[in-house]
Amino acid sequence: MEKNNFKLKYAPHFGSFKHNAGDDLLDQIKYASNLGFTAFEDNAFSGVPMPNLMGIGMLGQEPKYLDKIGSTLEELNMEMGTFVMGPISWPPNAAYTSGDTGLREQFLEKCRASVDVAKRLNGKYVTVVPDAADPSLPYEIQTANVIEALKRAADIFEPHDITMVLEPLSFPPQVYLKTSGQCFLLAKAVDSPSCKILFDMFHLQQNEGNLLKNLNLVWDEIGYFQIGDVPERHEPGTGEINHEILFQHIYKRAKSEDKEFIFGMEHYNSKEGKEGEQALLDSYLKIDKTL
Amino acid sequence: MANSFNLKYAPHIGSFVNTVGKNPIDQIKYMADLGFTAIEDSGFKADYIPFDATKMGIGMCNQPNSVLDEIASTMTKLNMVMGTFVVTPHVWPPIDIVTSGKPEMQQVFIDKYKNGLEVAKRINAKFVTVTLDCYDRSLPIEMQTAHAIDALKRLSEFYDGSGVTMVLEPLSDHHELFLRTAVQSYLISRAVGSENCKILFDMYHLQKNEGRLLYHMDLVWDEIGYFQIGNEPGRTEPGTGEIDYKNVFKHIYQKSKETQKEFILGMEHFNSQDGVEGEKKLLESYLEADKFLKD
Repeated sequence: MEKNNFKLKYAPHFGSFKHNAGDDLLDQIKYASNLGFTAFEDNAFSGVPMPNLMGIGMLGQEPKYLDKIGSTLEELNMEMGTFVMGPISWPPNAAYTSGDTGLREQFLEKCRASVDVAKRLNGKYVTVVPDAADPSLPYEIQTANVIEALKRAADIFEPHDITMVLEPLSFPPQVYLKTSGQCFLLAKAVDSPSCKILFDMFHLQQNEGNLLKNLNLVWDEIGYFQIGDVPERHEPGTGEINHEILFQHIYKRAKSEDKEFIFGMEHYNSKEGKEGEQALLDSYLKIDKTL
Repeated sequence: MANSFNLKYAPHIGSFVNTVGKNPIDQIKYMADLGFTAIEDSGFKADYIPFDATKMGIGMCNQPNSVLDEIASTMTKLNMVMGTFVVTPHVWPPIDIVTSGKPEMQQVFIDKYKNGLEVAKRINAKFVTVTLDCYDRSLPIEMQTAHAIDALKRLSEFYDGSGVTMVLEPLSDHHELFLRTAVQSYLISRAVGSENCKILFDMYHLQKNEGRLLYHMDLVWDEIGYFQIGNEPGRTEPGTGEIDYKNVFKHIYQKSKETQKEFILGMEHFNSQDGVEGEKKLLESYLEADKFLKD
């Protein structure tokens, strides 16, 4: 198998290449590495009843197994991308948007658990989502409550050089964090290297569009990118987003500022089986060649 | 050799001006030769408008009747259809002409588009682009919406029986512009409740204002009367921005077939490159984006 030399750090996840590599996560990581991928991420929740479709849910794994994943990545010289901390409940209810200190403490407890998971994986990122909005409160009060909770979370992550990346979501409809502007405000207010934006192009195309303009506006606070075409949340080339133009822009701007980002492939494959995995690989190769 | 496109893309007078020369009739003939079966016109000019808005058309409302008649007869001979066109704004910059609900302003709005109707008849256009100008910040949004509905209902009576459809265009050029989203256009179109008041689904403006193009298109599909194209950023041809037009065109093509509709897709954008080269690139970009049935 030819090892590709990608210009951007695309990160597949558990399941991306399962038909070729088999069901074992470690085998899948090795397979991705052989294809030339230099990062991996995990997008499943743990501890709440939601199907784990784009990952295994790192918070729900045994420490020994996490260590094994961490050492496998290290041997392969691969970087661990982000993993999802997960909501306090699912479907999400208002948690720390409400200002409730008990719910906030539950969130902070998850942050502490995530530090341990990240260290075992050698991961530098944790995906954080502020759960649902609290429609009983003015929007600005909710935002202040979220800032308060995230400041405390930043205190937990900072000493370990772990960054929580705030992910705007486009479903379910009750979620609080939806736009890049909102993320920017939170990151600025929390004002910590441990609190940055996860610029998820799938969710943001669904919520606001105008991707290039918005990513330039919030650029300074972006810590991580995720990918997914719209409407089907499949690989680039299958929907309404022209990823080639976006990647070219991000690649150039990042280079000119000496920044490097991981690009999580947080999407499904448009086709089933091995054929689908070839289409997945081809779609990334095609774009990467234009960089 | 004339190309055969799967969709009715409509360039404008100016799209190929460097290749053909300034004469509008020659340009129309050239576009027909290339295989285009429709044109549209988004140009306008007036003494009080301090910039050149004739890059996307010559401004049909600025032309003498003799020119309009020649354009119409040329297109008839070439079996081309006239898409939508922009009616010259009566004041610049735009103000809260419709949203305020003031009777004298509503009358100005109605007169403007009654004039537009006369031009439409002259050039056999089946569509007139209607914009709702600015917010009235002193009123609740629902009140402004009601005023727009009211004005459009009155206006639609003049369009009844003419075969000409007003297409409401959401805009993104300035933050004070009132009509911004697909669903807002849908609400107004449904409330007006007339066959001659539909949505101009402008993908350039809507990508800037809201994104999620295919989803919003499907939501408001029944009220769409016309499409316009333009990439973002730069407002240029397919292939130059963040919208993947090949996939978007494929969706419009399939959904049009399913619902037995046919739309004009106005090329309401600039060329990304100047001169003859840019015009070659324009044509190539449409030929490429139109290949959606092969991939």
